[in-house]
Amino acid sequence: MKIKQFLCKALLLSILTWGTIEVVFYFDPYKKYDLETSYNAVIIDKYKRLQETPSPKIVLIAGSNFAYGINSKLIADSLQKPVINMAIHYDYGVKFMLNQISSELRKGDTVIMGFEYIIESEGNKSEQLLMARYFPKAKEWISFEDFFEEIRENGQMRINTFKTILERLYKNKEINYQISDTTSVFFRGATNEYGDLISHYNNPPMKFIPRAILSDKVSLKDAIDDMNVFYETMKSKDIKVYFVYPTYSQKNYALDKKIIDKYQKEYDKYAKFPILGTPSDFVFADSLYHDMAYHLTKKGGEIRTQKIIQLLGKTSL
Amino acid sequence: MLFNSLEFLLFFPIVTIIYFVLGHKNRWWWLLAASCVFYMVFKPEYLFILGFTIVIDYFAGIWIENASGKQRKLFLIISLVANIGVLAFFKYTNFAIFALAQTNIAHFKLLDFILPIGLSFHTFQAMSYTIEVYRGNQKAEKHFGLYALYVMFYPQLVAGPIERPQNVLYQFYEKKSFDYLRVTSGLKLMAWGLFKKVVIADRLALFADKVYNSPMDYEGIPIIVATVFFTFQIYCDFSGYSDIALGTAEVMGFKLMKNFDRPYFSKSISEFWRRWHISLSTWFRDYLYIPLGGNRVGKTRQYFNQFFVFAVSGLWHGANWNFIIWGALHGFYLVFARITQKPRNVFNKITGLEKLPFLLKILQAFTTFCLVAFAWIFFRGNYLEQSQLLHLVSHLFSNFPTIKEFLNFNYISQNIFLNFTLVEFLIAIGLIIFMEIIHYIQRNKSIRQLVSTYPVVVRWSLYYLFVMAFFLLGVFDKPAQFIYFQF
Repeated sequence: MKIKQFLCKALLLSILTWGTIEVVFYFDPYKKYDLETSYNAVIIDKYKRLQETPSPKIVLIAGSNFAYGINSKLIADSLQKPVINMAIHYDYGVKFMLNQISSELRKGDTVIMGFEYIIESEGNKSEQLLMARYFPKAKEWISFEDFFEEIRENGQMRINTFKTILERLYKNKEINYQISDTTSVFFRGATNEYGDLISHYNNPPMKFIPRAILSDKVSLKDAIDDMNVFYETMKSKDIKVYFVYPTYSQKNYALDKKIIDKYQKEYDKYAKFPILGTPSDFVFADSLYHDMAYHLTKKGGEIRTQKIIQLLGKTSL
Repeated sequence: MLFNSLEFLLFFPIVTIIYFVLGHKNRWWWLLAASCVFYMVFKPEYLFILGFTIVIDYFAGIWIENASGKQRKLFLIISLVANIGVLAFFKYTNFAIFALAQTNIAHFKLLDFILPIGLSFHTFQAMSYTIEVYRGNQKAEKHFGLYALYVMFYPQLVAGPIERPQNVLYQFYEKKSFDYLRVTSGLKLMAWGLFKKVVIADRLALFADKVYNSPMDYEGIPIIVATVFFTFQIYCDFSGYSDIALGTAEVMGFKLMKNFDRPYFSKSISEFWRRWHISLSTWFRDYLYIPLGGNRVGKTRQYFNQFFVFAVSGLWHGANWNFIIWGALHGFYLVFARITQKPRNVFNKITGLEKLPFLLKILQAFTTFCLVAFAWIFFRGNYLEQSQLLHLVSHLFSNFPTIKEFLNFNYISQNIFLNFTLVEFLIAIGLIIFMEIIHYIQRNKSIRQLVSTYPVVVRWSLYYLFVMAFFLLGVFDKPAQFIYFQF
């Protein structure tokens, strides 16, 4: 009897405490605002365009180096095919990003992957779940290691949301994001009709591009394996897949050349998909970068895009 | 399995409920099976290593009891060699190979394996069994399952407390019933331990890691701030683990030994070691210091023994010079304190401090804290390169600001808050103060008992607030291992 009584009390305390977090999570007073403004919610618009664009189309997928540094219109005009830039943030990981586009690809489509040097296979589950909060379909793209990881990540997201809500209630401050302003970059309306990030065009670039973080201890093998699986699957559906190296600022490249060479060797060794160009093809002067080694300015994006078009021109595309 | 993992959140209630549902006769195998599962989560094959020493020590215990004269010693030596051999092979082989190569004596290939988790803990616990049987303080355990459970009892398997057989073995024979007060008391201790780990230790780690992960970027005050935070981090981390271990055992009706007793209130290094990792310091006292002669030998020998025991204690923590320096530093502190005892007493008399006992206690506690904190630099720096560690030690008091600089918010933000926000810094400091207040109150009365005397509404409000504070202030982004798991 005492065990039962104890278990009931323990259950009640758990319901009361975790219940508070669940209630706040589901009745989040900022959810509507975030849905309209959050950068993670940009997937809603990008995915809609992906679904609505008829094949044959060109789909760009990577992290923010593609989001910032691509002029999709140039590609579309040059290759006479509609382009959708699906790139948002590298932290989603390769697996998630490729899952994101794979079900909407059809015969005749072309995919250009341009993942960053710091890309991971699995990615950051918190970021993935945050996207799924605004766009429930994204849940299908997340692959959890096991049941515990799924519970842990979902629980953590609820706790983080709970903390954020309390903080925002306390600060009571909202930001009015605008493409035309000179400060905001990451928000839902920050892209053009193709999905290219254009919110930074008006913003002053940094005087010095900070040091990027690359490690020679990291291997890209898992991420390349994911790309191989994707390539094989797409190949069987008559969908073309190419890889281009990400852009990287000149000064950072000089400092990280050894590590990048190591990564290039891994691509050469493991990749089954065609690779267009070399890392040095996408290294530009620091003045063409906005705020970090991967983020090009408008002008830098155009130069880089021309380079991609030139490399694509050498293929049968 | 980590105590701060979701897996344990599922494991613990299942194991405990079934434990209480089962009859007394069946409980030992259930706990043993649960302990195996608990250990196998880390690396299943290492269960065989544990099994090997368990079998050796089980039979050694029986043989020691049945033998007489020199044979008894022989069996004890066999057991000790087996235990120390396993420990030495897994923990110190690569260290020895590396040291030989560094000194150009010999060059061997480093062995490629991961150290079995908690090896030093369960090896020491196993050794205390055969030693106690040899000394006649403990009867050899005839029940193999119960002996295995003594070594493998999951609450203290991977990070202690390092128990003595006479404290634990008999408890496995006792019939334990579901005692509501005891169970809730154990759960409260577990909750407090988890709070110390997830909320305090992991939060302080954010500050300490900032400096210790890139030591060359810092000089002076930031190093001091990070070291002070690490001093509390390691305490909360390890004592948090011990609290969870003690609480888990208490829920099931077992009483494990207290491992910490407000160590940062110590007024001397010797007092610190009576309050810090008590199960290890008493182990070294009973099984190394006293056999070496203890206080029965001459002063010089005593000093050497004390220094030696602490250097070995450092080596116990890890096969790394940093740990040896850390242990030796504590040994030096102790010897120095004993040598300077008289002049210090004279100094206290001359300055009048002797007549101000409260002030004297504060000064002594502060000095002890500073010495302990300084030694932690070597402990925390075990992954650092020699040059980085030297930088930390040599730049501890350099680049100090002028008063004008110090009063600048930017300076404070970068060097004291370590680029965290004022609120984050205050939360960290507030948590340390909160914990020490709790400890201070606990001197005379158990807070757990105190809480159970409150009216139900107050009690439940406290529980609710505690859990919500856990969720709000806990660091869940990077689930961290317990620092002492690596030993």
